[in-house]
Amino acid sequence: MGLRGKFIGGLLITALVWSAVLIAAWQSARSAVDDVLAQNERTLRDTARVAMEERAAQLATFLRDALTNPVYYFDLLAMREVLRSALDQPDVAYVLVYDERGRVIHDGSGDIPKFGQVMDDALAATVVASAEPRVQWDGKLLDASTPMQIGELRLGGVRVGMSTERMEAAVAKDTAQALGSLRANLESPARVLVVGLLALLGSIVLLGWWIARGLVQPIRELSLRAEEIEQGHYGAAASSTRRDELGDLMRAFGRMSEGVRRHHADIRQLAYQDSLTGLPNRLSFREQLENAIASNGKRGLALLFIDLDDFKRINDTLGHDIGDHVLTEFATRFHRALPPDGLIPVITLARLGGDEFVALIEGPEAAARAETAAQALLHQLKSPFDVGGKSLLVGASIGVTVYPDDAQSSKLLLKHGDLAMYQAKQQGKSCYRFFAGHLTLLAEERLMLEHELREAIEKAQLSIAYQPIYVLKTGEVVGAEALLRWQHPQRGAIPPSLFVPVAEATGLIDALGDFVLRRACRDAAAWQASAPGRCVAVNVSGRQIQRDGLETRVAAALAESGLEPSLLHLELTESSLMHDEAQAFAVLAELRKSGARVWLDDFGTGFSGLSHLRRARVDGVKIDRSFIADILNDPEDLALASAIIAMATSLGMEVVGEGVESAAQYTLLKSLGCQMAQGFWMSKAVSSDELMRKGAVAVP
Amino acid sequence: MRSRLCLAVWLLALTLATPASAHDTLVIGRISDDPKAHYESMRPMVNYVVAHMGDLGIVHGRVLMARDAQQMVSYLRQGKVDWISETAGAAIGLQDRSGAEFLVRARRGGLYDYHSVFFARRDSGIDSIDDLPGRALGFEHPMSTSAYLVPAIILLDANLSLAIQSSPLERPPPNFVGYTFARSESNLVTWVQKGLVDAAVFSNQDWSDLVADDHRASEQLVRFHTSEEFPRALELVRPGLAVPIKERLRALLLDAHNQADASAALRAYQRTERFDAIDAATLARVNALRKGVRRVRSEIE
Repeated sequence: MGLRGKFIGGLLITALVWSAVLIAAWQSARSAVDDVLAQNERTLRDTARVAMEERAAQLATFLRDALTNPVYYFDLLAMREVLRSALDQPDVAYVLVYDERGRVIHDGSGDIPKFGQVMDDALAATVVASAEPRVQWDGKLLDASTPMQIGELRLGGVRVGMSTERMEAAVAKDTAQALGSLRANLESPARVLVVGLLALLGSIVLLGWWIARGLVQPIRELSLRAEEIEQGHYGAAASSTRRDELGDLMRAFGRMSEGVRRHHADIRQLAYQDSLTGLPNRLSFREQLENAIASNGKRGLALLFIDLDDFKRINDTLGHDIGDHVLTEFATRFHRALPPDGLIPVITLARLGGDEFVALIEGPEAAARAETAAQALLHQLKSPFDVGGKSLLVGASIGVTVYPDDAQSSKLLLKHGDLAMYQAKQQGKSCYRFFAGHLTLLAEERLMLEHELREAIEKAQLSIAYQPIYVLKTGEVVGAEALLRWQHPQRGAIPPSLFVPVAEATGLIDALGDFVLRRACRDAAAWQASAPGRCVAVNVSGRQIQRDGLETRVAAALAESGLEPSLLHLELTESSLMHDEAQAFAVLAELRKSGARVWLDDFGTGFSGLSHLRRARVDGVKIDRSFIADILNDPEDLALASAIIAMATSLGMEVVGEGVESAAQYTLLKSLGCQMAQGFWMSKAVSSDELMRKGAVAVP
Repeated sequence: MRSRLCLAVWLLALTLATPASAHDTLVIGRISDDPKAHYESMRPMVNYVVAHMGDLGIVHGRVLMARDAQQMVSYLRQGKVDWISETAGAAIGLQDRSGAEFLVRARRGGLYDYHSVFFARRDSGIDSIDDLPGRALGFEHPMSTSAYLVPAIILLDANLSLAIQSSPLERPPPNFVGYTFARSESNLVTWVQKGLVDAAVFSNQDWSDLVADDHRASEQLVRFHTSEEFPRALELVRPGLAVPIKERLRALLLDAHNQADASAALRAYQRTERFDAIDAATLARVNALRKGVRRVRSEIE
């Protein structure tokens, strides 16, 4: 029950109680009046009866006197005249003259039908026998009789019957008049009572209306507004011209509603829009996709899952600003290739995150249109991007899925699009691939891999193998590069090329990196007993550098293991340093403070020039295996390797050649002045224990 | 001394109350037990007559009632009443005792003469007056001609003995005809109908009014004897009334039915139609009646 209901209910109950009390009082007064009237009526009737008895007795006496002589002479005419005058009187029901034996002599009628008949009514016997005047009642009839005699001679008597009807009527009339007057006296206050009650009820209704209007209605309005806001409908702000507290409340509510609306809009924008490109984000796209499936599903939908090729490298080498420009430019290119009013109806282009975009195409021939769209987009990407003064070629791999052929849900549609895109990447990039059923298997494998990798970390299925590094001149082992190995219980050894991308994609790479760092330090510390000075090289990914606290973790690993810091070589790829030089150099400086040495891995494959080497002030470089592989046959590779070795040596850096697989390569590198090398020709990767026992190779 | 004074006062009062007829006043009288009812029947007639006697010095008219024949006789003797109207039997009685003289006869109900009718209930077994001894008979009044005097004469002439009863319910000895006065003609009819008396008698005019016109009464009652005709009504004047006045009165009455201004007075005067002179036949009937009346007075009363 609402406020108004309670209030009106309370008032009504009060009014009803008062009504009941007043009505009871009125009833009581009315009952008293009725009692008085009944008493009055009895008194009136009693008085009237007494008066009537007197009258009847008088009339009987008079008739007796007037009729004695006519009766004596049997003068029926005279009797009739006297009796008729009596009968003419009101109330007189009958008159009878009877003889001494009770026989009727005259009844006042012309032909005296009862003449000579003995009176046989109920009172007759008493009347005839009585020597005295009598007054008797028989129901509503009063009978007055008086004997008639002359001297001692009994002639008979006279009876007068009087009806009480007129008297009763008079009494009733009197009573009715009294009743009327008393009732009138009683009813005028009763009318006041009724009017009062009606006024009371009326005022309750008015009060209820007033409360509803003044108090409850605004509260209801606020309640309704609150419900609307709860459901996300921000209508016009509630306003009020009232000057009281309710008015203040309503105005405050209105302001609050407006504030909530603004915040909601902001949040919605944040939640649904990609801040960089202004495109819808993943969340927004999911909703649009759901809506599209719900409304356009039958007409056909196709989804382009787009991933920019090598965007990571752009980000790493050219910096995030450039990457951001590339992303923005891609959005522009997309719209240029597929304008909103173009032939192909693109519902939306959204950025799912990173370099992943997704476009939704609708229409009856969605698959064909999607293919045309993919071709148009790839064509558009053939011209280089002009970003930050640089000219870049940015390709994209596109996966196409069609609804409802490839998937029936939005989630699956996206997943399959991802798989198709992945397929496109696998098959050479800058191309599009339609989703095919077998892709699902790959995806599942990848998922399983991720699951098993987590399990491997927990169950210590991971181990580290060490690729020995040899001094070319002496053939002695100087140290080793730590390599992560995953020995799967069922599937055997799983190569890093398979699981590292998974680890990178899922963030497991951080845990792996720390694991390798600490284990390598510990193992290297163990080596020092049998082979003092033997160093260990650990790969550090760009991600690790970007992540805060690398130097702390390095220091912690060193302290934990007790390894001489100079014996820890941290190997960074060229590209990991390039994308944010300032930060990278700062990290390098911090790492060097800990005493660890910093090397550049895979040197020669990056975009950067040799000039970086000086500024980076690294301790050494590792020549990428791709140069070593063809060094014997390819003069360019030989030249490049020679240049690197010469330059590094001149800068006081050490050089390690990677991937030495033959004695010829060994010899060549030694001749070029390269100090160290690693590769299968000398030794494959071995366990830590094996490494401790590893001796020198015979220098060819 | 005191009683003598009282008597003197009483006589004076009597004289004042009923003064002797003044010279300028004509007084009409009647024996009545209902002066109130009868006054209005005579007033117009005396007024009419007086209106035509101014030249005789008569300028006032008066009505004077007497309780009974006795009183009327006294009034006539004293000269307090100048003129009365009576049935034949009563007129004869008054004339015998006061010396009043007949003036004219009156025709009423179309009749100058009428007769008495004896009647009884059809189931009474009475067929003639010979059946009456041992029976109760109803007369009207001792002054009534048709309902007492004439039937009484008939009964006497038939050698029947009459015995007055104290009540109609009484029955006479077998040789007597019992009689009771009923005081009115209608009482007579009721008495016979209700069996109070065995038979009754009144005029043929009463028969016509009370029985013949009444369906029930005419069914119940039957006439078993009728009398000779006798005069209906006679006008008399007191002895010693001045002749001019007497003759003027006679002339006025005889001519009244011709006078328009007398018609209302005539109608009120017991529905009199006209007056006529008393002819020889009438006088003969009156004289015949006078003999019977005297016999009734002597033998019955």
